[in-house]
Amino acid sequence: MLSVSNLEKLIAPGAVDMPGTLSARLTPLLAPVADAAVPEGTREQTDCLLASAACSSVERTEVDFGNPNAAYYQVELTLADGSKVFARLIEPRGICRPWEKTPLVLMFHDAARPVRGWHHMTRFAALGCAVLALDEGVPSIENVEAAFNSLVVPALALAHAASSLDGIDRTRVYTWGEGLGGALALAVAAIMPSQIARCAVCNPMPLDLTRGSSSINLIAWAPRISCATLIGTGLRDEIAPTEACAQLAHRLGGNAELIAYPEHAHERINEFENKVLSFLASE
Amino acid sequence: MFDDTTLERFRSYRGIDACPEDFDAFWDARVREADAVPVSYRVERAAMPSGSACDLFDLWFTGMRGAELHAKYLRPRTDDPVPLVLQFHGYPGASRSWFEQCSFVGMGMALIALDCPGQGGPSQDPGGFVGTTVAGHIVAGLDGPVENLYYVRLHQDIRILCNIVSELSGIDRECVYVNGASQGGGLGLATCALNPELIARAAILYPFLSDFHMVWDLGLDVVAYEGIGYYSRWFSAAGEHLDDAFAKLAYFDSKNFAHLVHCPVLFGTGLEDTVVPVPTQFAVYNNLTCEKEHHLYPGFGHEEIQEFDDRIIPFLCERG
Repeated sequence: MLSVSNLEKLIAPGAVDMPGTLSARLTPLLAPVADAAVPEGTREQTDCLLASAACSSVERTEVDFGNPNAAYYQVELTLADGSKVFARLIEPRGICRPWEKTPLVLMFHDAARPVRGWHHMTRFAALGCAVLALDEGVPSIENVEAAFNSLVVPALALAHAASSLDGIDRTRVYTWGEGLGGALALAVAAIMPSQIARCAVCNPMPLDLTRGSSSINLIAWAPRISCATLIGTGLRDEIAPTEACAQLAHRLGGNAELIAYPEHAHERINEFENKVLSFLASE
Repeated sequence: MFDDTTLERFRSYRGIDACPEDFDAFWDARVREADAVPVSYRVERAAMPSGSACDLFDLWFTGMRGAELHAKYLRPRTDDPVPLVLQFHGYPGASRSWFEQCSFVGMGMALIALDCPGQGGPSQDPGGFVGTTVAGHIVAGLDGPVENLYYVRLHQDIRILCNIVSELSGIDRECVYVNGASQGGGLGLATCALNPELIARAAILYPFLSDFHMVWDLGLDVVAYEGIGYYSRWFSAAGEHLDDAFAKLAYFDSKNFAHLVHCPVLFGTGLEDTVVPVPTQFAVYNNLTCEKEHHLYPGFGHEEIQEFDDRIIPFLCERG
């Protein structure tokens, strides 16, 4: 359920009935959605996806960057059907590892770009967190629905692999993603709700897939997500509309915070990154 | 994309205008002025929950003309002295998010990220610039004495920040580094030049603020360099005052600081960059006389270059 948002703060009462205003656009998003039912057959579909994502092996190869406070690995997962899934893993060491068991962030990047760089992801070590990031090439933004459908199983495989990694605090496995990666982060939280403790997403898309028998409609599946969820949305984002984010937030099974950024489009949002930091780092 | 002949020409190009003869003396005097400002700063815990392996602080200090300046200050949670990165942001804007700055903490390093005055962060700009101020900090103060240009004052503010770093506890002062892209790259190089006793290494990506005459000549006095374009249109429409303007801008031209840089420099250029024209970047690099390495990225413009960022990890970590 949507428990915290800044939507109300952005609405000027005197502009609510004025067509074309931000206030008129945002006002309908305040209303909670009464229907919290999950479509029939969801359980069977998630069982099927989970079976496909089971890993038969997890191999890691260290990449030496000379950083005494983090270890870097290329990871190769082999699924039950023999297919491969690739990922990057960074584990905190030295002064960045205050606990023996570390939290783990499962990270998913957006369409039209590759996995984030090693330097970028070293930020998680500063939080004492490990990060496991999906590294499956550059998904198409022209056909993001197909990209999403093809990446759900690899994303779930990452969550599976987490259970075989040493030194991970399994009560603190989080998902985080931007754009397409946001949808994957939500999908993992919906399909493996007991294993994900928090989920943070920025401009997630697509959220309302209805085409194709294997498509996952995350708005319909939202009640399955029981963890705390943080959602950032740019009001000028034309490919990940705020309306879908709000609809999803109202239907979530756990508490959700939705922060809307009036001047931002489909892009990284500096202020939201600070929110993500607080969300992941707080006890 | 440039052909091989053009790239070869870039490899020996050092800029259109020569460095002013009194450049070093000018900056010796400016550094002395900055050093005469009493060091005054305070460190406050930031209004952010600290991550489990790091602490976040706001660093406030008094700059030139009494300006109240701000920087993000992050530290790994340890009592041992740690290396420090001085980070400078692009134009116009502010230091990136706390989360983004955390990458250096994940390398076991503290980080100070200055917010340039009057741009997108909380640092105050006391102003008082003679001449146009409507568009572009490059030309702020251009109708007054060189000493009062915005960027001259900013380099002095950074000198004051370096003096604070020399006092901060818990810093390994043998391992103080600079990192910056675009405006941050220009400020970073000048920081190396004006604080050679402090800065041990620098990672510089497509440095801004250089070879202004070439920027104008290429017709690329737009976006970050738009101040030159506006100045030219309004005050030197037929080119009457351009030489005088470029003569003043030369005092904070990144290429002119290059000969004063003594630390090793990791340097990156996206070959499709039109915001900071590629030949102006070569002018900076070619004037560096220190240990240096230049990485060229075909297909990249003025944007995040992950491969360059990844090079920063061993470049800084191999030293400590």
